[in-house]
Amino acid sequence: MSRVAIVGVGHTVYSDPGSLKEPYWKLDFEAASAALDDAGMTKGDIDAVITASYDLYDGIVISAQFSAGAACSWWKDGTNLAEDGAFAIPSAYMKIRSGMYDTVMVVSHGTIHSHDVIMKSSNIACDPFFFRPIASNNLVLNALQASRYKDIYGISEEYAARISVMEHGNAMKNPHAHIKTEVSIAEVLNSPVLCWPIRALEYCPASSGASAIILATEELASWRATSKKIAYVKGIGWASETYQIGNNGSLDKIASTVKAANMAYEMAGIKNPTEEIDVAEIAGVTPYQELMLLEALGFCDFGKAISLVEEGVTAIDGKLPVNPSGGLICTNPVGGAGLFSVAEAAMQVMGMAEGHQIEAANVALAHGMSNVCGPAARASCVVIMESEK
Amino acid sequence: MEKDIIEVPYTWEIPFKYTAGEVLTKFFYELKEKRIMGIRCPKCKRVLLPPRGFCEMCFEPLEEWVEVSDEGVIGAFQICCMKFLGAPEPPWASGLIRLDGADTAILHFIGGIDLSDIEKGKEAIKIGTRVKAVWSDAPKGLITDIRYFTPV
Amino acid sequence: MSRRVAIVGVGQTETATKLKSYTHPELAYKAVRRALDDAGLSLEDIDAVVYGSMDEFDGINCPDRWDIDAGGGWHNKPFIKILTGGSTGHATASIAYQHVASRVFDVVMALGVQRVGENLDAQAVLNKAFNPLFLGDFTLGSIDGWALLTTMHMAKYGSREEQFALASVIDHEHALNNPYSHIKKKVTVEDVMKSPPVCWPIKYLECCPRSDGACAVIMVSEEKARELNRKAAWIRGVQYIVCTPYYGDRPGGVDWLNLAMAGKRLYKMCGITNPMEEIDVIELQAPFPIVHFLALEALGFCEHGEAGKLIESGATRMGGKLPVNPSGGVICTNQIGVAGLVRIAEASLQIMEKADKRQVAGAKKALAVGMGASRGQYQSVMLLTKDWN
Ligand SMILES: [Zn+2]
Repeated sequence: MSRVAIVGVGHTVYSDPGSLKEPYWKLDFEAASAALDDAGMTKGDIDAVITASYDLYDGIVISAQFSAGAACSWWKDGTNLAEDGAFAIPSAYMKIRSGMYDTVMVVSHGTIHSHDVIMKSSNIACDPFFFRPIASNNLVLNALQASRYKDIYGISEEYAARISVMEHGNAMKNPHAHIKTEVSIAEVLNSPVLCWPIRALEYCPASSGASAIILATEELASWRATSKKIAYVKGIGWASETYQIGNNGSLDKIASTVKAANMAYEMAGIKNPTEEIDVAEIAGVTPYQELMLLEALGFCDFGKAISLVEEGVTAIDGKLPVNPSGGLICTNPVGGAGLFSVAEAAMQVMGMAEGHQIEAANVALAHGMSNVCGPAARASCVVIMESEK
Repeated sequence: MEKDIIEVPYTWEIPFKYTAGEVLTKFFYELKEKRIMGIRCPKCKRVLLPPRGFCEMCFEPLEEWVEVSDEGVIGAFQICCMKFLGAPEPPWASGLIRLDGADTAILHFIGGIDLSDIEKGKEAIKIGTRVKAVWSDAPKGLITDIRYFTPV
Repeated sequence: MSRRVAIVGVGQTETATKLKSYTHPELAYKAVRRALDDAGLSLEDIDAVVYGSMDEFDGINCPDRWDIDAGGGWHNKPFIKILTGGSTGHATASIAYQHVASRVFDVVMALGVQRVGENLDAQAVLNKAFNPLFLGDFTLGSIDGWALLTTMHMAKYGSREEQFALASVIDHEHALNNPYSHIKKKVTVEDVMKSPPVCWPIKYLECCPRSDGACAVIMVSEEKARELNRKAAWIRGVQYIVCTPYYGDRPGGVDWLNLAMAGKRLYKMCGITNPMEEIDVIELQAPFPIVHFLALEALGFCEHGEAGKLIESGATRMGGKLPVNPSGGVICTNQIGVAGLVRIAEASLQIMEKADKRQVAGAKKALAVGMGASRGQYQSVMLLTKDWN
């Protein structure tokens, strides 16, 4: 069966939405144009388009209507997911696999300009009877989960801080990253508590920017310039979780990521992820979430993620570098974050990353989450890609 | 560009009325009488709180009401120290509380504690701490008829 | 070649301005339960779920999160959410179709939930769909935009107000046969003409209501359809097309070139050469009579400008040559983000001979037409058939 390939990747620069001078559709347009350039394609070469955006974050009902043209979908099949951008990849993969289309453009952005907007819109993502009146939002609910995880496995604040320090260090090497400041453990630990146990320097920013990816059939991928590499989609998986977090004795595990990873590993034939994956870009918005994700992705046993970090396995020069891009703690286009991670992972296997390129990165894992109400009804998406050998 | 980029300010103001449905309507009427009612699944036998029309595990419709205690145990908590649009003045805490007689936990405020020093706050609130509902004097049939849960 | 996909189960809830007995997820559950029962399946049998809704009407950012347990959240099922305005329902179905056609899954559910009755002014919500810099101040919501197209059609082709009124009369007539219809009231052309103008020339009795309702449709692979051995409707072909949100830009004006193009692609895909002769029944997402005109003309059921005559001929009535909207259509029930999925559900019921009092005898080919966002920026068509060939 013909493989599905990633033949073009485009990023805008990610920055502070407060300094944003253009509407979101202009960012979509820039990212889509960059991906077309990278693929050596023009607008007419694209058969179908998938955008991913949330209306409330853009402040426009059916905000996708303005992304559509920017992502070159006129006169084509064009759909919008109200999910994190990573979820557009499986949908594009299925569009190609169904035999209906040869090339699919995927575009997603973040432009939300304040934490107030994020928190208010995540509060009204909660049900109006039980969660909303208790001032819930994704930070509060993520903090609830983090405190439980921290308590159950005895994670010290220093460990969490170390992850933040590591991510900030990686972001310094990534020209597309938003936050570029070196931080020390002491600075992280002295930064104010937002929602205990999460501190200001441990929490993702809101970033503006867009990413675009072009997927194509293997036959069309063979047209890509021989000087450039191709990333083949080896495995995809996605899964959801219950909304009723009070049901759940296992708030200390991210069940949707476990399920999504298993689906993707099975499709990719991966038995031992830590051995077989060369680099991972994962969607942790706090260090605690990131630790839980390392476990959910099967990189170590439950409760053991801290030793993975302690041994330096996930460092940029480690055996399995995690978030060489600096991750979501440094670049978080809300809504488009997962596609940022997919683009970063693809750039690793395509040899397109710059200062943060991992050598001999042949197999990459990208992970995104729809995290609107934190752990309540969370959904996870995993994409595994491999470069041409 | 030399001139400032134009930004048009806008606030969405759209009124809504959310339907509680039959199950939650019963729950809220009982709550007004300071009774907390869970609902039992005929298949898995769990007493679910908040109550709901169907069991997400067994996918069965639910109708058997069971009164649960207004006392229970904290399963997870957070302490919010940041001001959010529309949220209470910080610091405040919320948590998942499993009430005696229920199999699942509800989310609610944890209060009656001095949170101004976060270290002291963490001492007062722990996973496993027993808490009890503090009721409003003028219940309206809303989840906030319980003002918060406080350590016993 | 795409894998063949069939619809084997349909579940709809009753509709009303407000279905007060259920919360949002309970309403979703009702539709899912009915679809599972119709297909003879249980929730465990569902491999993945595609969910559609237009958040803003319900006053919940991402109601998919609260509803997730009606779509297998507890069981960690793959679940994604689609949002493309009024065309959300159709887009949800077409993405669900690709889940199966791609061979990634065998049994997939498309689920739509909408509670337009929760907000106190639907037009205020719709107003937020317009570009705030250009259109937001000049448009009421939806009705005025359709009125523009109506006056354009009257000027270009001389169609008369009585002809538009008749399209509404026929929908109302058909709705009396549908237990799931919201408005059940016989009206005459005179009644319609005398009803107050809302945005002239659109009159009160030509306007869709705002409805609460949910719908679920279960799609399976050819192999699974054989195994289940139940009544099935084959998804013979599907097309989805996007054009510009700026309706002043749209080439063709009232000739709806984008829907015409989607129609041509669909007919080619399905080997249809004479749609009027070959198609037995249409379910059309027409919230106002003008959409009947634009769609019937664009899809080749008559020449441009001739839809009024076609409707006057009685062809589109039950018992006519080409019954349109045996369900009563969207003029009688509009659960906005679900209405497109209901068209597919109703077309499938026709093919499966499960449409009871609204059954078109001997229906072998049924066309479902969906559209949404700024006067049909998104357009879609799906052909459902009794036999593959
Ligand atoms: Zn149960």
